[in-house]
Amino acid sequence: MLTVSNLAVTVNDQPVLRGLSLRVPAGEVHALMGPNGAGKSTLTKVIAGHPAYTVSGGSVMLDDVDLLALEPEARAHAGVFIGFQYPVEVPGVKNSDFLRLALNAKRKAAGQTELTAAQFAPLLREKMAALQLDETFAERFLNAGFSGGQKKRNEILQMAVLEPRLAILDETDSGLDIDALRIVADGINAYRSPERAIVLITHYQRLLDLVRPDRVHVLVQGRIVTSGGPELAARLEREGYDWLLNAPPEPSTPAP
Amino acid sequence: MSAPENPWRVARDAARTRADALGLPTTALEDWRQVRVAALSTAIPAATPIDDLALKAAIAQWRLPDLPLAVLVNGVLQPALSDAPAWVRPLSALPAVERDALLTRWLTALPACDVVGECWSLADCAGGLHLTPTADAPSAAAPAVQILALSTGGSHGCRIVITVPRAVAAQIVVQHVALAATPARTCVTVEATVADGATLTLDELVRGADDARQLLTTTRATLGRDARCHWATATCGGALVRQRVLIELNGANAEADLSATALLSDARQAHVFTRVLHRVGHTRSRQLIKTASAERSLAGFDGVVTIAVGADGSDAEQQNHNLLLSPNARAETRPQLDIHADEVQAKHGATVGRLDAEQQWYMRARGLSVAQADALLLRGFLNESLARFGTDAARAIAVELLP
Repeated sequence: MLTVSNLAVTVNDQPVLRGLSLRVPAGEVHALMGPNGAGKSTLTKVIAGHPAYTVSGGSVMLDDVDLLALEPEARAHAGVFIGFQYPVEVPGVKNSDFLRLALNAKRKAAGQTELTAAQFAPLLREKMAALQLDETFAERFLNAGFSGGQKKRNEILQMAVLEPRLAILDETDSGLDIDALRIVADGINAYRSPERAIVLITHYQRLLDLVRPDRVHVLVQGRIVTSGGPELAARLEREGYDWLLNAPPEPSTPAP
Repeated sequence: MSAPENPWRVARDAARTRADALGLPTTALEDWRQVRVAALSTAIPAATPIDDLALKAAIAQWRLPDLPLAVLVNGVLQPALSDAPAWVRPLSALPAVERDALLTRWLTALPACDVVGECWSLADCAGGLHLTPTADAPSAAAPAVQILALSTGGSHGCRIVITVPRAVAAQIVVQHVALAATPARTCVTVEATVADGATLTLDELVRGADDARQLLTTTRATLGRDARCHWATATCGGALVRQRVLIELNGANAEADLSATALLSDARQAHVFTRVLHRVGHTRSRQLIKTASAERSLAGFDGVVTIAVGADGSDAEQQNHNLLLSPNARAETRPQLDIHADEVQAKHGATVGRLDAEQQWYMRARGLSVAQADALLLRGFLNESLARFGTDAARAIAVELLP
């Protein structure tokens, strides 16, 4: 599914990712953890094609598709979805209008017929119900005036509607209360399938208690310094990152 | 014994004399500093004759559904093509006493009038309208009419007098439609008196052949106690579209809500010029002007809110926000507050900027193309002012301006 190889990225000529490698097979959930400033959000934005980041080396492949060669919208059409840490607010644009346009753009790229508003409405209602979102959510302007938690739930709603093959969720658990976290986790678990892959970027064990990861990776100073099973997240929860920051870096190799 | 002079001709001649004395506006005049005034120097060919068939086709194309219709062709009411209620009359149908009072007022005001468009609106006025909206019965729907003001070219003026009686809520939609692609000039002055407890909803749409059009409008409204005036306009601009709105809040709890939307391209320009006077306290005004300008177009806003001495408790807001969609597009903004009372709420704001790159990228990351993202962002930006149209029919048309 996703294969990141020796990815090097700079922002304003400053290196942020320094030879990062990561492999996430289809059907698996991987957690990506690391201290602030390690480069986690940078990785998500590079995979999505943000123009502020310069890739100076390496590759990002989604199966046999070279994502770095594609425009951002083509990456979305190929099946990439980023649940952003700070979703932007767009006053004046209705959530439902935006979602229908986004879904139709993807359907059109796949050679499928586009959905009319009447065809889209029941689909959206079904997805919103699964996330226990009020129906007025669809008519509200995109993220405008939303609480932090509402924005994160809206990102999960978008994921549920767009049904990407690869979802990278950047601190989706931040800003969520206990009940909302459980609802979002249920949404993520419902999305799991043998054909899809998920990367959860998080600082906390609590999300990983609800969405059990197959692998956990720790990103420090722009590269993966260690990987392991769910027990690695538990250790980080107990001991923090000091034991990793003080240890010599492991050779960066693609995770098995 | 010589025949008495036609009073309309006297008024028109006086207005022509005043307009000639004023001459064409230049950017040396403060009120015209932002305007590309060269457009007014364009030679205006005579109006193109239009046959009934073409006229009916134009009416079918432009009329709004579900609203009675008054058709003006070059400022003259066409009763045979209209189905307007009885309270819509040509000025020529006014009783002599009312006519004389009106003309006397206009003639008295002329020497102090320094707005050439207003002078032209009378000098070239061949018809005009008088509206006194009344409901057929107390339980009847609010009186409403659409005025389809068709221009077939040439220079013409029009004066529209609206008197909204006490406690009546009237809805009036004015569509300024240019049919000719040749340079044409239309000057319209609307005078509205909104009595105590009355509401005037006045929606304006500027449609049709845009590039050669000159449209100069003045809308002047005086509001009594508990009166409301909602004015909204939408335009794609023209060689010169300039809409002046002058509001006087003369009674406590009077309220004015003004909004304008412009989506400009090519070398078109559109200007909104507002003057809102809170003459007494506990009055409220809201203004929202939003524009988006592409290519070499120009959007202008010049607004002053004046809160008079003693008008304490007034509440005013004035917002002007402009998007520039290309490097050569321009937006000029002059929001101004002139406050002479102590206890008031007044705020204003103005922005000129480009589409937000982060918002665009967010949408691209969800699969929208650059063009789709920009169109959606533009729609989102302008939706706020378009939502302020008071009539559903006008709002639906205004939204069609959007990409």
